[in-house]
Amino acid sequence: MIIEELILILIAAAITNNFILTYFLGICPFIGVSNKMESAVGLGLATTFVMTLAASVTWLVYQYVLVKFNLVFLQYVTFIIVIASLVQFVEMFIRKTSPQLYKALGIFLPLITTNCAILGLTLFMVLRKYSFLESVIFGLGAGIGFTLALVLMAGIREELEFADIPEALKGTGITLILAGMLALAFMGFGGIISG
Amino acid sequence: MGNIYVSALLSMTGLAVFFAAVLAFADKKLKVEDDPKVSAITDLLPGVNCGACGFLSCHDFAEHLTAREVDPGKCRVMTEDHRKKIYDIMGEKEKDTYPRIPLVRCAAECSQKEPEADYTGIATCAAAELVFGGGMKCTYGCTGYGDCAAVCPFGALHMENGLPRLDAEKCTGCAKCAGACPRNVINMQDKRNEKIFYVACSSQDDMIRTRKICSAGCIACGVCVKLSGDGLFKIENNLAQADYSKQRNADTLLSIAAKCPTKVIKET
Repeated sequence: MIIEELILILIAAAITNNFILTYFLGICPFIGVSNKMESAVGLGLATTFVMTLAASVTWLVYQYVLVKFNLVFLQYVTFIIVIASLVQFVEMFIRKTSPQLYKALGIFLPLITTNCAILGLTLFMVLRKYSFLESVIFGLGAGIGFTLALVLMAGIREELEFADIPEALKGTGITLILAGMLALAFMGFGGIISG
Repeated sequence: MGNIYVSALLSMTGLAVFFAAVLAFADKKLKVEDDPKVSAITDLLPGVNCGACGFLSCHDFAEHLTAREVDPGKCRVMTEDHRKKIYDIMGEKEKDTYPRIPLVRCAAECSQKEPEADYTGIATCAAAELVFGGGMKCTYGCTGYGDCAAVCPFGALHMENGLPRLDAEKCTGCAKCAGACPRNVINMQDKRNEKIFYVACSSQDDMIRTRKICSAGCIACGVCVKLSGDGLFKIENNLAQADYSKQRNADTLLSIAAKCPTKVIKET
């Protein structure tokens, strides 16, 4: 039973309630890093990692510090501190393990800190009263969904290089239109899972 | 009630200290050793991260230098001495580079800037340029609001009587002033000689209009072209242009400058 529920949360976060294409969170890296497949995969994985970690750490902090001491009103500040530290950690880790990826991600790596998808994730998690395991799965699912959207977009944009786009729409313009079309396509998943 | 403040303070401090400790530990464990060459070069670079070399920061520039992808001469800010040391670290021979300086191609002081209308808007060149140059008749010359002086990171330019004046000692040739000028009045040039002679006017208006609206403008009379003979000057678009690469004899140039009817040929 519990496994069924977890799978539902995972799929819901990744596909039907995709953070980028349904909630429109994290559009900045979505537009900024989706022009190359390699960096899209890199940022997607980095974000997935941060999301999963952020979900688990913030859950622990929320339950054992904020709720315990009756400090729920501090959740925004606390969550941002947690996310910022995690991102800093991931940055050091990537710099050590893969300098190429570090270069390719450039400014967008530290910008994960201000990626609203991650803060959104932690706030949703509190709102929906998930348990620890559910939160971790939710974070993982959201990360997978983020990566999926980023990779889909990068694939399309790489093909777009060869397309004959009207001058006025070149660059960000056509990307936003495409994002809208992708979001429409993802609406098709809407009825699969309720809740 | 006081309790909640104390617990809020304590728990937030606790969390902050905890994460700081984790990060400090990770910093030690995951430290990336920089190439010693890169850090040596970074120390020699000015460290102002002005971006004039075209790279993100001095550190980024140093990385490309170590990979021998660029020439240290790209950095206009650093001193001769440091440049030589960087060549030593790179193990390459120095190339001929000249310092670059901005030339202000306009000589109209406040009293000579003929007004066409009163401009009471924001007092920057960029804003004035949007509304027909801030009411000045000449559409090529310096508007005199001093965007160049404001943008200079080294304090080498100041406005004097409606024109930017250069303090050559402080100038590093970073070209930020040239980028800030909406009318491209400021040109960057290699300083090959002690003195460069240049035409301090950018106006491409014809002789009659220039004569009418400005007493300091180049009227493209061609006296300088005739006197020099060997291409020291040429006239293009109603404007005399100096060929800086041919300037060798300062005396000849001085005598030509003295013959200019509007005295628009200036020396640095």
